Amino acid sequence: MSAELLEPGLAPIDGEVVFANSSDVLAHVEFGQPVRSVKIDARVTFAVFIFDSRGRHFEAGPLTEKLLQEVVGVANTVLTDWNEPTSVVP
Amino acid sequence: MSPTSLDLIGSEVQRRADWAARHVEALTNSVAAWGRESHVARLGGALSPDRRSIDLRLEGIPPAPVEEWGFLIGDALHNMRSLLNNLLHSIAVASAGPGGDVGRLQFPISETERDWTRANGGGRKQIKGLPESVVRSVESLQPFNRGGSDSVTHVLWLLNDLSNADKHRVATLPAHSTNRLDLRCPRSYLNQG
Repeated sequence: MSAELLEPGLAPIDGEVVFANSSDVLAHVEFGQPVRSVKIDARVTFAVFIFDSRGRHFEAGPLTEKLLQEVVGVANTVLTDWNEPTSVVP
Repeated sequence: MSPTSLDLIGSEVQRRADWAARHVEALTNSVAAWGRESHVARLGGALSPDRRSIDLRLEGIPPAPVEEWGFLIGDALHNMRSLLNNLLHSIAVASAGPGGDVGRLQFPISETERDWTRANGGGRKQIKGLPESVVRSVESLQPFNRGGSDSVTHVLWLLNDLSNADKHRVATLPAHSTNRLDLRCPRSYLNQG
């Protein structure tokens, strides 16, 4: 965060996904001049990730929802191709 | 194959899908509940000696039930993978009768065409005996149809990868972390020295 970003002063910083422990530095903020004290409003959102064997990470909730939707789609395709449609819903 | 049998197969697969959905929902609810608890976390930090900067840290984050989340994810994956196997097993029984050979039957997921065609344990071999329309359907859904390295972006490839890791190696252990960090520091918040 640079001093310039303090003007007009409400520019949010979109943090990248940071695999941080509570003791890790989340952000380094430069003020451009000495300050006696500072107040910072922060909004932090958390997410849960899982990793595949290729080391790629995915947000667990949306991924499992998507997988279920797709798997049910696969099942319906096979059922339809086999014979008359029998619908399965996610 | 009577319509009644089709309905039975559909309902069996449906029950697996419903069970998987319950685990997905439980995971979503548990993560949301923890996220609400995490609102008590504080953003802390100390000014640098020259008072020109600050390093911010999160403090007081409540412990996350990552093991429980991992088991929920594993259960959901397992039911999704089983759903596909159950589907083909039911079709095999309905097509060939209870005496049919279903011993090695499973829904194959092949990353490469070679995985699909190889004589020893290839995907095509795993569904031997199923109606040709089903074999063609399953083949058309395989990750290798994406071609080359894109097969690993296929949803069935990912399901297989995550499910196998959970089943055969170690239980899924998710990581939780900050996903987004918005900082707002109006100039009026600075008490300048």
